[in-house]
Amino acid sequence: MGAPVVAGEALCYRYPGSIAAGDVLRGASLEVAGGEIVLLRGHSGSGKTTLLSVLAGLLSPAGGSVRLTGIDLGGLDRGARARLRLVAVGFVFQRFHLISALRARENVELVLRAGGLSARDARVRAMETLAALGIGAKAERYPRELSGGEQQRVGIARALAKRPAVVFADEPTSSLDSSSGAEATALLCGLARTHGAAVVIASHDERIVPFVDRVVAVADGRCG
Amino acid sequence: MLALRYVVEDVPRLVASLAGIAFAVALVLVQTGIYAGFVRSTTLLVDNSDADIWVASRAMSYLEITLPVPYAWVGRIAAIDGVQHAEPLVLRSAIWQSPDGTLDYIRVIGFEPAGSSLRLGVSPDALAAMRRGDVATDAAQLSSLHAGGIGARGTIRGMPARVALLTRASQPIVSPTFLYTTLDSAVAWTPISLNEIMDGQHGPGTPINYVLVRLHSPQSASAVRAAIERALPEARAFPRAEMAAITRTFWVERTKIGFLLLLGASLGVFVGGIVVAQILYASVNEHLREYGTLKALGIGDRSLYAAIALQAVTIAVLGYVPGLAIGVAIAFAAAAGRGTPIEITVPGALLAFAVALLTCVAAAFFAVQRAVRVDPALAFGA
Repeated sequence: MGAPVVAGEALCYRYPGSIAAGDVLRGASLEVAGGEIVLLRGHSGSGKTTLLSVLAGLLSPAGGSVRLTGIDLGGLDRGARARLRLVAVGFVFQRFHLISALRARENVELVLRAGGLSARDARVRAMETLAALGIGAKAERYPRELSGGEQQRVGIARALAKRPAVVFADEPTSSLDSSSGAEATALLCGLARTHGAAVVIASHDERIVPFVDRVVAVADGRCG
Repeated sequence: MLALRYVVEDVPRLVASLAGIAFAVALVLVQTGIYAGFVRSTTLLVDNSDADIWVASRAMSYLEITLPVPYAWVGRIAAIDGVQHAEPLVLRSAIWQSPDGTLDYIRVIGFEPAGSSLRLGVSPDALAAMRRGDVATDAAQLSSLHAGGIGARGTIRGMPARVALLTRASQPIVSPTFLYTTLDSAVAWTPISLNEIMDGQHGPGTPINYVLVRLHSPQSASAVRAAIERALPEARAFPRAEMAAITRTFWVERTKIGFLLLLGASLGVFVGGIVVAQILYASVNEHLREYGTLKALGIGDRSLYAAIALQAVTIAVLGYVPGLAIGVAIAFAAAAGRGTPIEITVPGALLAFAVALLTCVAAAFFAVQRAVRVDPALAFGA
């Protein structure tokens, strides 16, 4: 494994206005090397999704530090963090979160175009990635015309098409049946390995374990 | 790409927003058209004349309010170097009574039809054929006179009058019905001196209101103007454009019509803006999680602003076209049905387009706040 592309150190987080529940993260630390696939496993409410959000720069920690591809997120403003996510980070969401008004191909192209690729290059890259995930034939369909498993494959294509340094995946299988879930996980991990991308998956799904390099238990806002 | 898809994905909502903008555009067009038509109509008599200079009393306020001047001015002005032709014009008030007894307040404009500087949208020969008792009036005023058309009769001060000619574009919106007639008819119908009452026709003692002057060369206007005012210290000589400007300014300031129409147009723009803002806001709300996803993926606020502004501009452009069509249709209907000039001008149309754009962009600015404030971490929620 190479140098860490994700490094969270002593992370603390409390949701605004949430006094009774206390800190969601309580000094959580995690390092993920380039190309490494890590599963954050824990019960609901353990803090794994919050940890994912903080590591991805979506939430700013109340304490501790995060370095993404060697860049300290604490030194970046909101816009700079967004630009870093755009070029270096891919996301796979539990509910897929495809843009309903765009076709599958356009969902992938959107991020590539925003990252600076020409329309032609974005289209070629999007089609290649969708084909690699076995969904090239349905590239012109809208999300509502795809099954859950197919939508998740489009989501994975959107995350990986830009060749990110790291992909954060939040419960990528929980909206899928077992066969689709296993298939999606295999495709995500397989393509990420092909591209050399690190993957951090937050899930309580035991079936993911065989696909990852390391399992980190998350409990009470800390990494085990 | 995404912005345009959001615009067209919900057709009923698109139609509602287009209707809002079309309504605002049509209202702006009609209001500015009424204003332009009103302003232009106030100076039709001046604009539709070949007179290079209008000579009046120094006390003149505007075309319809002035003091009489001696008829003798016509000859004295005609003798000034550079003057090709000088003719008298009287402008007086009277009552028209139609055969069914209906009364209408009128302005009697007396002039010498043969070789006159007034054009009135009819041929010089037709004008020259006018005889004592004949009147020419704008076709749109026939209903006010309870007259069916050419040949219709009425009385003025108990004397017969006959509609002999129909003019075009010769009637100010706010003035009583203009009846153009021979100088003798005007004097007979509206005598203001003992001589006029006794003689029933014009003469050297007839008070007139204007002397219309045609020049040999329009370039000599300022020199002739100065010569007239030197020769007749009680006179003011106005080049045609200045005479029109004085009259226009009087009506605009006196009636505050510009303010009233602006008020009406503003209400239309406000309502249209609220409709578009509400619809854009609802659209943003509906796609809030998608905006959150876009922010999580790293799409910047600037791109979100651009996307929503593009939606607004698209609505503005698409709404402008039917708005323009509605405005033009209303203008045609008003002109055809009531003779009301609503002038849809290129500047008015451009103004309406600018208003549509600004309204939509302002509405978008209101809606976009919701999108840029969405927490990107929302995307990680279930």
